Amino acid sequence: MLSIKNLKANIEDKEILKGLNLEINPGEVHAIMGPNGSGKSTLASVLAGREEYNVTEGEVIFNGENILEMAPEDRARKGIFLAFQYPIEIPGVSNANFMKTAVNEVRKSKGLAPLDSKEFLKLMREKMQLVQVDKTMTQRSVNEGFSGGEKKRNEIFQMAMLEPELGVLDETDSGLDIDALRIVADGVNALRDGKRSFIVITHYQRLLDYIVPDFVHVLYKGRIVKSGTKELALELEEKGYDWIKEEVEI
Amino acid sequence: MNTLTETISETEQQISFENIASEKLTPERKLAIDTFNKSGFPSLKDEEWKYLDLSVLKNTPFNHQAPACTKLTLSDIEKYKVAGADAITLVFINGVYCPELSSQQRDNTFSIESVESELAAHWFGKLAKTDEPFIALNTAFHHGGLLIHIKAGQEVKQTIHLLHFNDSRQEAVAAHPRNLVVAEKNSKVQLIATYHSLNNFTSLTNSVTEFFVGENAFVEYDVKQDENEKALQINYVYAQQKRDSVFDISTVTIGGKMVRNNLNIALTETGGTAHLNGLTVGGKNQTVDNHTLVDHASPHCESFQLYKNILDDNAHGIFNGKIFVRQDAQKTNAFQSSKNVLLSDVAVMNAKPQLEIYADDVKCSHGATTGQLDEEALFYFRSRGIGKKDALALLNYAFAGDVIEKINNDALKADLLKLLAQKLNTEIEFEG
Ligand SMILES: Nc1ncnc2c1ncn2[C@@H]1O[C@H](COP(=O)(O)OP(=O)(O)OP(=O)(O)O)[C@@H](O)[C@H]1O
Ligand SMILES: [Mg+2]
Repeated sequence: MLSIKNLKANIEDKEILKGLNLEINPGEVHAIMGPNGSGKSTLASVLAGREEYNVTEGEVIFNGENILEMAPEDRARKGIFLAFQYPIEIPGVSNANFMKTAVNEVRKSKGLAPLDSKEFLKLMREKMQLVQVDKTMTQRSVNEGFSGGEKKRNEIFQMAMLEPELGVLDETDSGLDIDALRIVADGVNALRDGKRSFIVITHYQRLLDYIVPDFVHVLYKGRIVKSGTKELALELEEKGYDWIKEEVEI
Repeated sequence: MNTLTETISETEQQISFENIASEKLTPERKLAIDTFNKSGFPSLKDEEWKYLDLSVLKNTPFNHQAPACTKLTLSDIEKYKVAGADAITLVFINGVYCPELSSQQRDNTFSIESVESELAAHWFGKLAKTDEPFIALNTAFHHGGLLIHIKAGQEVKQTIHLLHFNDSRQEAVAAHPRNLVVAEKNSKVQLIATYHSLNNFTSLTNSVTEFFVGENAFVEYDVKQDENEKALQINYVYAQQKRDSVFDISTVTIGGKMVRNNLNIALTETGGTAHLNGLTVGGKNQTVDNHTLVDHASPHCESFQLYKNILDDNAHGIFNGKIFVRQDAQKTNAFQSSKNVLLSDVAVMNAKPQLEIYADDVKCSHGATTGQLDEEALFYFRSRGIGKKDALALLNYAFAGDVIEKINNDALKADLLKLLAQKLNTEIEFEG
C-alpha cells in the first residue's frame, strides 16, 4: 500500500532524509526507532505533506499514486493520518466541531453525504469509548490546556474518527504513564483490522509489547540502516544504538 | 421635507447652506457649520487622525441634504432584519426615521420622539461636541433622528434594532444619522444598530449617537457595519454612565471601504462598568479605524476592551485606545487588549494603546499583538482533511469568535457568524 523509494528531503537546505526505502503492505505494523535527530519526524512530516520540507529525490507511492505532489488535505482524504509528536493547541475551535468538519470533508471527497449532527454524535460517542475520551474533552478547544496524555489520546481519537488506511504515529507513547500507554495502545489495536497499516515511531520498546509490530526498522542519519522483527526492538532497548552506528560507519 | 442644499468648494472644502428655508436654519446649525468651516476636515497631521486617509471623503461632492424615506418597501428591507430576533425595528434612510417601514407595535417601557424635540434638547449635544469636525457637520445637517427614551425601572424585553440605510443610488449622499438613547434609572435595554448601503455612488454615513445611562441601568449596544465597498462611514458613539450602570458595546465591522469608529465612554459616577468589544474582518482596500476613549472619572469603575482585526489583501486596520484615569478614580480596573492577524504581506495594522493614569490605586493593563497566520495550526487542520480555505476560515473564526461570544443576543450572534463565514469565504457552519 505504501512504497517509499530513495526518498531524499531537505529542510532549510539541510539534507535530513538521505535515500530512504520502505515497503508496507496492507495490515502491517512497522515500528521505526532511531536516535534523536535521525529523521523520524521528518519522514512522518514528509508523508503528511508538511510544506517546509523539500523533497529532492525519490518517490512515495500510496495505493498506486505518487502522493508527493498532493496537498496535505488530499493525502488525509486518501487515507493517510499523522498522529503528531507535539499536537498543537487551537484555542477557539472545539474538538467536536473540528472533527465534524474533518469527517465531513473526508466523506465529501469520497462522494458520501455529510453526517448530520445526530449521526456525527453517534459516531463520536462510539469512538470516544475507544480511547476513553470524555465528553468535556470533545467540547473543549482542540488540545487547549490538555495534559500530555490527553493530547496523545486525542490524536488517536481523531484517527479513530477518520478511519485512515495508514496511521503514522510519531512518538504517541512518549510521556505517557503505563495506564495511559495501555489506553492508547488498545485504541490502536482496536483499529487493526487486517487492512489498515501503521507506522509506529517510538523510542521505547515497551510500546511494542502492546502494539506488536510486524517489522522494526532503525532510522539513522536519514536512512533505514537495519530492519528486523520485534526482537530487534528488544535488542535496541538492551544495547542502545552504538553498535548500529558502528556497523553503519564501517 | 428639508429643502436645504449645499455646495462644497473643492479647494477649501468649505461647506455652506444655500436656499435655506429660514425656519430650518437654527442658530445651532449655523454655528455648527461655521465651526466646521473654521476647522475643515481633519488631516493626517492631526494626532487623532494620523493613520486615516480621508482623501476620498474630502474629494467627493456629497449631497448632505438628500431626500429621506426613498423608494424602499417593507419587502426591500426584510432581508436586512436580524433573522430570528424578537426585535422592534426602527428604519432610518439617510439618517431619517421612516415610520412606515418601522415596527408599529410598541410597548410602554419606552417612547420615541424626534431628536429635535424640546425633551431631547435636554440631552442633545451634551456629549457630542462640535469641536470634532464630523460632529459639527452632523450637528449642522442631521435630520429626522430619534430620541429613544427608556423609562425608569423598565426593561425593554424586545431588542430595539436601528436599521440604517444610506441610499446613494441616485447621487453621492452624506447621511447624518443623529440619535439619542436615554436609559433612566434601573432600566434595561438592548439595542442593535446595523448599517447598510445601497449605492452606485460613493456614500458617506456620518453617524452620531449619544447614550445617557442612568443609575443602575443596563444598556447593550451592538453595532454591525456591513456597508459595501463604495461606502465611507464615520461613527461617533458617546456614553455617559451614572452610578452602578453598565454599558456594553460590540462593534463588528465587516463591510465598508473606510470606517472610522469613535467610542467615548465617560464613567462619571462610582460603580460603573463598560465593555467595549470590536471585531474587524477586512480585505481588499478596506480601512477600519477604531478609536476608543474610556474616561474613568470616578472610583470603583471597570472597563474592559477587546479589539480584534483580521486583515487580508491591502486592508488597513487602526486601533487607538485611550484609557484616562483621573485622580479621583481610585480602585479603577481598566483593561485593554488589541489582537490582530495579518493574512497577507501587505495588510497593515497600526495599534496604539494610550494610558493616562493620575490615580495611584488602580489596576490597568493593555496589550497589543499583531501576528501572521499560524502555519502550524493550518497544517494541523489540513492533515485532518480540511482544505486550506476552510482551515483558514476555521482558524480565523476561532480568533474572532470570542468577540462575537460577548454579544448577548443569540439571534444577532447567529447572524454575525453567518456573515463571518461569508466574509471568510467558507461554507462551514460555525457554531454559536
Ligand atoms: N525546522 C527545522 N529547521 C532546521 N532543522 C530542522 C528543522 N526541523 C528539524 N530539523 C533537523 O532535522 C533533523 C531531524 O529531525 P527530526 O525531528 O526528523 O528527528 P527525529 O528523529 O524525529 O528526532 P526525535 O527522536 O528527537 O524526535 C534534526 O537534526 C533537526 O534538528
Ligand atoms: Mg521526532
